[in-house]
Amino acid sequence: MDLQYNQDELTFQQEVRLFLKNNLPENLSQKVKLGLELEKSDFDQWHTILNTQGWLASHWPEKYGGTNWSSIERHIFEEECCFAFAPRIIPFGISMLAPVVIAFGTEQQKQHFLPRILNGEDWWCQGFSEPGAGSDLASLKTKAVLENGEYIVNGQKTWTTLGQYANWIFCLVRTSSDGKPQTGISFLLIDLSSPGIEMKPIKLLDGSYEVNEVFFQDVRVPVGNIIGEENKGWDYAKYLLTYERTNIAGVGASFVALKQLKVLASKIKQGNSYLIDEYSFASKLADIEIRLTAMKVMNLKVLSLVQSGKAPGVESSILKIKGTEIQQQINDLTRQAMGPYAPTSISEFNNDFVLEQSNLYDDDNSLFQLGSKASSKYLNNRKLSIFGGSNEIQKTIIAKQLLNF
Amino acid sequence: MEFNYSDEHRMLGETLNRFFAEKYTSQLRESIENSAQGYNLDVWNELCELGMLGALLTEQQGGFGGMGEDINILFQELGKVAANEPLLSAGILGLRLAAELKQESLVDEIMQGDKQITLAHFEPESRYEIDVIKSQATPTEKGFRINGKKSMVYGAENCDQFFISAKIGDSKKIAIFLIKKIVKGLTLSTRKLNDGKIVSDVLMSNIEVSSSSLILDDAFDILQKLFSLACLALSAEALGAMKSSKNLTVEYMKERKQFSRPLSAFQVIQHRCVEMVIEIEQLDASLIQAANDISFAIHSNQNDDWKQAFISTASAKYLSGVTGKLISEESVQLHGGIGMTWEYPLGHFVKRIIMNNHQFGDSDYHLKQHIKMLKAELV
Ligand SMILES: Cc1cc2nc3c(=O)[nH]c(=O)nc-3n(C[C@H](O)[C@H](O)[C@H](O)COP(=O)(O)OP(=O)(O)OC[C@H]3O[C@@H](n4cnc5c(N)ncnc54)[C@H](O)[C@@H]3O)c2cc1C
Repeated sequence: MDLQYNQDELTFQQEVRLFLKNNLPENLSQKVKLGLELEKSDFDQWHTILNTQGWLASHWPEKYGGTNWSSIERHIFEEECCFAFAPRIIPFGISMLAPVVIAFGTEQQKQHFLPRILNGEDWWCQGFSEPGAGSDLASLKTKAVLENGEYIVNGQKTWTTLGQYANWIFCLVRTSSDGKPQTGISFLLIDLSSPGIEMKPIKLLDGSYEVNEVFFQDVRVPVGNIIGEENKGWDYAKYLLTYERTNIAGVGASFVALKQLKVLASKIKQGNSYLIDEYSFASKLADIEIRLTAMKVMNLKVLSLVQSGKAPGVESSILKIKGTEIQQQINDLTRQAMGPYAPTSISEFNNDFVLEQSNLYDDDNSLFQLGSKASSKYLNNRKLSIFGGSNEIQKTIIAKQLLNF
Repeated sequence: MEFNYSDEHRMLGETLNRFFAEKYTSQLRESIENSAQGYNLDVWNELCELGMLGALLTEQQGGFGGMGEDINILFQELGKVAANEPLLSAGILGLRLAAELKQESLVDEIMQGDKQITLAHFEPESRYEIDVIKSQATPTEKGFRINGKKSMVYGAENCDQFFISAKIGDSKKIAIFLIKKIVKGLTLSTRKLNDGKIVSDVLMSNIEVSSSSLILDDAFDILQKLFSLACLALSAEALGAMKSSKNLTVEYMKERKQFSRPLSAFQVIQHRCVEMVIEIEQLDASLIQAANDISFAIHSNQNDDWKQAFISTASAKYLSGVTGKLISEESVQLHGGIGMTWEYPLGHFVKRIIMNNHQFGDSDYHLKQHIKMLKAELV
């Protein structure tokens, strides 16, 4: 047993740090640090920088533009990116669709789509969920009927994250209603500029716009846009979800958020003392830190399992549950920390101060800004336990796979 | 012992219930969110015309209620629709305070709906502590010069006058002044809250006031009592919103089908809904106790009875914070994606429940108050 990184890994860590120091633009890291909303151009900018370095799609095979990093090295990269306040890599093309294309796509699909994902020409979104098919994804109804070399697609997808930025969507569609629901599903790539597609924004609880409804009416999709075989889409989707759930624990991001919360708690006054001096608050903070540290080890344990060639099973479900709970607890405590200022509304202000360097009480705006950010983040991140396979569904998986219930 | 409400109290609840159910449509909600004052003027005027403000005053003060039960009932109804009308900021912190301070003519004007007034007390650094007040009133020849800053004053922009708290000279006592909103040296910076309400920071810089604007030179007791009413009101409002939130969730579990059956067919879902019901019952009971203790203290006006009322309102506010977090988070979770949307009414309840915990002390604060009183009892 040895919890330290080995010499090679430490060297790699230095290399990543140096790269981030020299290449991560200040305007981006500042935005991330202040919790400001990132725009498409911000993500594109960061993707391009990483792509130039050859680090954008680190988990792809080298011949398609990936690296040969081990899972520990990938973890180090992700962690360092969090610590440096780099924007997150948008997963839909790079981490969800690409592995499926690489594993099951035709040579032509690989040649066409993979470079476009890397160079940012295509922004993908995920069209799995429907109004009637959430946890029970296999009951999806959006239909694709083959007619003269084209699929005619009719139906509706929903909760499509960042669909407003996308020009392509990968969908699960029903191509057969025979047999079990899972066996009649196909995996289809659809150009969002096709006639018959309408996208409508959905406003979330905190007032933000990040998800959409997508309507399909007699949309024509070339037969060449199907992945693998017809009616095998469910298998490909399951393969994709194993990728969706890697790094689901968000350890690095939680450490960063916790660190900021500690700074905040040492600056917020409650009467004649500081919030960090309040036992009830401090004990919750410590509780989270203890759990997060344990989760970090759990996460590394799974990674070294993957390193040795085993596929994670229930472990990733456990990490999803614990990881999202911890993130939500940090958001909850940050909201509590803001006290009377938490109910302020979002989007009125842009943070323009650095927490570490500011006296919160010098200027009214600081507290308002932090308050509104904290409560909208709290509300918005309730999604973490709902999407990516809800925490209830994860528990059912654990019960079946681990306990044989 | 009697656990049924009197006919008058039942009628108060039923009237308000009908009133709000009829008014609070999604269009009204939208108009409120886009309004300058943070609530609907017509609804507010109708409430005043119905005489509902009278429920906040005792008979001696010119009302028909003013007891713990009235507040509990009224604010639960408000919470059930997550209404924005300022019954706390202009009602309890304005009208009721004016009555406690024996400002009869002011009470009349407010009751007739001619005037709105509120209390500007808390300051940026006080967080939830009542007695951490740095605003200063310096005696002058004609009266006082006031300097200081009040934060998060709900509905300040809608008021004509404020009660403000400050310390006179180097006195440690908290005095209350009545000042006009439009006066040299006073600036409001107003912002919107995430439920559409408006709130202001009130900056007082060398405001000159006459000596008659000093209303009371030692207001701590009155404020402490008033804040226990406010805590009861906020807890009751949150409870009303919790009931609506739970009801929406239970209904949705019966409607929503996944895996070819309603979600309510899964035992784990049943248990989680039941958990909500049990916790809500517990909070309801805690509020009955707090309301009862407040009424008792108002009647007797004995110190010991007020002490008891403070303990039980702190308990109720604590429980309402803890229960509120559970109900909000469970309601959203059990709804899945739909619970995350702005359009679906659940969000209004969730925000009201969570944000009430950020006024007049959160659950940590009230737990601490309870511990203090518990220790004091032992010595
Ligand atoms: C912000 C956000 C972004 C999203 N982005 C995308 C996206 O980009 N692409 C996409 O395809 N989808 C996306 N989703 C959809 C997401 O995957 C679904 O919301 C999720 O699968 C849950 O489905 P549902 O919302 O229909 O809830 P439901 O399935 O209706 O579930 C409601 C509740 O019941 C629970 N439940 C359901 N079945 C059971 C059971 N058998 N036992 C116990 N409990 C159960 C669930 O856990 C949940 O708590 C997103 C969702 C959100 C909120």
